[in-house]
Amino acid sequence: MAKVVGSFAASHAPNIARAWDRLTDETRDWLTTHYNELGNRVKALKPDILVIHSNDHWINFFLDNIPAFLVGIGDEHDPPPEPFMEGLFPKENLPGHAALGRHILEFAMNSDFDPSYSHRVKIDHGIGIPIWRMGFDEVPPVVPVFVNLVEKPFPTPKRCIAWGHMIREAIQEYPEDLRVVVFGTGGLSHSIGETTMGWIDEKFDQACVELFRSASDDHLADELSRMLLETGNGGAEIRSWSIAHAVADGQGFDLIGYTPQPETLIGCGLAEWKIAS
Amino acid sequence: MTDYWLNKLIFELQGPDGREQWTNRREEVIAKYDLSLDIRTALIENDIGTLLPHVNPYLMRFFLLMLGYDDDQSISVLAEFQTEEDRKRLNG
Repeated sequence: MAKVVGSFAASHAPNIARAWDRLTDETRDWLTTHYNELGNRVKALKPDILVIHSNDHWINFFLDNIPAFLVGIGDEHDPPPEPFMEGLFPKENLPGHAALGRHILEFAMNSDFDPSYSHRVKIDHGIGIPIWRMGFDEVPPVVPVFVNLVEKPFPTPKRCIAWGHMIREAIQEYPEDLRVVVFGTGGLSHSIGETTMGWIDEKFDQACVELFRSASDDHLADELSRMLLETGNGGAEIRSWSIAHAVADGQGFDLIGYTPQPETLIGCGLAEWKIAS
Repeated sequence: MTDYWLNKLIFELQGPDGREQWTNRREEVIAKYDLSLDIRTALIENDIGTLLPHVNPYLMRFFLLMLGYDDDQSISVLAEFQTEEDRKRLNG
């Protein structure tokens, strides 16, 4: 049977790629050190597959049709089309894992979730930047899961936590002997394209970290729902972290690094949740 | 209130020749979308304050980049439209 061997979260700000050559040495060093540490931890787990939760950024979806959750069930995915992501991946297309993707889709449906699905998605910077910065020699197959966090209404934190638990169960029910690492990407606080753009809400970020360390699912959901009303719009992406949290099933949280980072416009954070052996 | 056609226009400018289209053929581009006179005028005049309530923030971010605003300029132009409630949130 497949096994969840790791659960991680990482920020994915476009400026990490778009502005890489213009960042200060201090910021570039911080990003390099911490994403390398993240990559080393993930590679040490020898994952066969990555299941990565992120939000689309107007690349795959428009107002015509925005899924709350979408599972990518293709054998491969298109590379990021954003100009600032060009040339960052060694291969033209990213490998997928259609069988696990379809299994997750069907498991979700049978668990009373109603995700959309796609045989061909474009991987945007939300998934692409963490993969790029982790520095894989060969990127493992990716099952992408998109969560709508750009155009309201969004799935509630409660629903995202429930989704995370379902993902863990789905992976554990998959019959092939695979080692799976789950990711939630995005966050922490940021404010994009709105009147408070540039705001990094450190209070929100620190509160989230404390919640991931010790809160019950109910408390985490309630507090995130309350806190998200007050912070910048990019804070919505903390839902992806809550999915990674739920996948780990409350086995312990390790903050790999956090810094408020005005150059990338985000509270930049990376984390690992311990997994029960 | 979200303006579907305004968001559609900006969404479609994300293509590789979007900036060229907007720089050299702006009125021709605008004519392809079912926009109100107020919105058309705001697009011609780079009137961000009029557009802001009708555009998804992530598309607004892209739009400002396409207009040539760097991060500081984007932050500055958007901050002009902060409300008292925004300022209270920023001040904790």
